[in-house]
Amino acid sequence: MVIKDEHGMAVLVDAVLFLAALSVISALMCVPHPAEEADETQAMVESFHAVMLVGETSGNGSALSQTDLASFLVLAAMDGVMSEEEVTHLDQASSGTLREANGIWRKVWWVVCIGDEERLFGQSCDGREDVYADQRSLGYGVVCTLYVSI
Amino acid sequence: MAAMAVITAASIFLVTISAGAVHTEIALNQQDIVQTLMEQDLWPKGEILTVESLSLPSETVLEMEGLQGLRLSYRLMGNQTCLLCLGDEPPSDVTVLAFRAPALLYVQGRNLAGMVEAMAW
Repeated sequence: MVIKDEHGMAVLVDAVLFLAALSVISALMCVPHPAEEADETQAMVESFHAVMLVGETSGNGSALSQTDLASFLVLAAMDGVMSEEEVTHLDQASSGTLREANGIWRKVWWVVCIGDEERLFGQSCDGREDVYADQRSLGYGVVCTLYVSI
Repeated sequence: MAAMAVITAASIFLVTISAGAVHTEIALNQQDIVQTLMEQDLWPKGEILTVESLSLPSETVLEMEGLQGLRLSYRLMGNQTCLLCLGDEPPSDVTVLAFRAPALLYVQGRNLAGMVEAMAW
């Protein structure tokens, strides 16, 4: 013989629904939001690029090595083109940051545009990954962009 | 009775999960640690960090709730050699919260791009 306690069943269903809703809300509060992670990644990329540009370029003792990277880029842009020597210097100056960033993100590359000329340092991605970028205009037609893919 | 049993069991389960999450946040809150380190000029905040002059004021930093130890490392970008390490290595049996940030470091008269890494436990 089966006795149906409809009131009891209703309370039980209410309780289960309440707990299910509570669980969903708790899960939403505990799980990190993708938007926050994206913001953190973007902030980190901007921070990397900012530090990279204000750091001195290399330790070879020359006068140019004692300028920060942003100033070096502006100096390089004065004549409108980048010489191979300047490109080599930029390659050396950016290698530390790119190597460091490669340990954090999948691929990292830095693009320098002076006028119509564009140079890429590092290794770019194939376009199927999420990419974050920080672009800076330094004046005199110099635009540099640090890209990372995750 | 059945409803009360379900509610009680589920509440205990949820409280147990929440307590774990809250405990972790209190013990290892990265933002609080970074804020304290910034106040001590040990963490980059848009200014140059002079590596030679840094020292760890252990009493102040370790007063933070839930923080048992802290180690800071300063090195150049892309170079794993530590220019300056403050604090002891973390014990092997603790959970370590590690985080890092790029920083402009003043090293031997030069402003160089570097990294600051922190391990907190």
